Amino acid sequence: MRRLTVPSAEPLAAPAEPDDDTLMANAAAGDQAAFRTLMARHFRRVYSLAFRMIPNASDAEDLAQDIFFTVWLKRAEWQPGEAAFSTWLYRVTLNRCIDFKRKRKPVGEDQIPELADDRPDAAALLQQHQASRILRGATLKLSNEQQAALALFYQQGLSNAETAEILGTSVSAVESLLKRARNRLRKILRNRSKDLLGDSG
Amino acid sequence: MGLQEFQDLLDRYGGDPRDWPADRRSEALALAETSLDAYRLIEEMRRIELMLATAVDTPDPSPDAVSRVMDRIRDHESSLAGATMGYATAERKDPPSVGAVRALLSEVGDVLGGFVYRPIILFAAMSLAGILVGVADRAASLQEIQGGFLFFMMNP
Repeated sequence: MRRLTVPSAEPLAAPAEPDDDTLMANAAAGDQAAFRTLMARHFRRVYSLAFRMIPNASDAEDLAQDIFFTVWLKRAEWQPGEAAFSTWLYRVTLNRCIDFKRKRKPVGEDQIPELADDRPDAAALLQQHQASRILRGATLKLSNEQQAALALFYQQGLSNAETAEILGTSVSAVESLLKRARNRLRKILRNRSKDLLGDSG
Repeated sequence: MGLQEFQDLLDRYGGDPRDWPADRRSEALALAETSLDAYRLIEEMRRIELMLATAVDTPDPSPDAVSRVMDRIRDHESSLAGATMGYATAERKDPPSVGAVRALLSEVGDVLGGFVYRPIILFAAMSLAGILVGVADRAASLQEIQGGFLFFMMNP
């Protein structure tokens, strides 16, 4: 009887995940599964970015869904090699957020929903939520471009050059946007809460 | 470097000295080490940046958010395919067969025959009769003419 040879017990390498360009190319050919993978990979980032720009989580989620549906409809227009998919997606997201905000009335800080919490460590969480709420209120008073620059730089962790590419501007323009945003934020926050920033004001 | 210039540096480049321009870094750091105000400004900027990076509580999106987009895509693609199929079917529709036309005319004839066909047939019959009488009459006249001509020729 022939004996089967047992291969060496080296762990099998997991198949490499296809990159965004490949997934998008497949999606452009009508592959919905590829598009689902792409969306699952980027949905939270798009939603988080939208939530930074739009104060309501429900609106941010609706917007993120609309953005991906639009990406599906316009998938044939995307040209690989011109820009990274994520850069293109961020640009689409920011443009949609800005359009959304233009159509809506500006939202005041008092309209940002309170975060309810009744857990045992509520005091610490409440302080964190208050800080979060104050910061959100202050951020929403900045211009759309300043908000976008802050979100891309701090939340998405992008460099000034990457932020500039997404915003379609120069690195020095991004530096200026960030400078004005930080300056304004500092002044707003100084007035809002000494506890948040210490005694530096 | 004065305090205002230091503040501008922080606003432009943030609170991390690694992001400051190399030609101004050492001077700015020296100021932060010697000036309490400068030190406080840098601490303030770091707190703001920490909050910007972490403090916003982004709620989780709905677990089925991605699935809902896919449902919408499927619906869209189905309706698109349906519309295309309908268009294609309409394009490919065969012309009506001769039998179908006859059947349709027969049906129409059955319905309209009593009202339309009978007077038409009657009218046609009467017209035909009139034509025949006229032709016969004319033929008789010709015969008479022809007869007279022959009589004249034969009896000059």
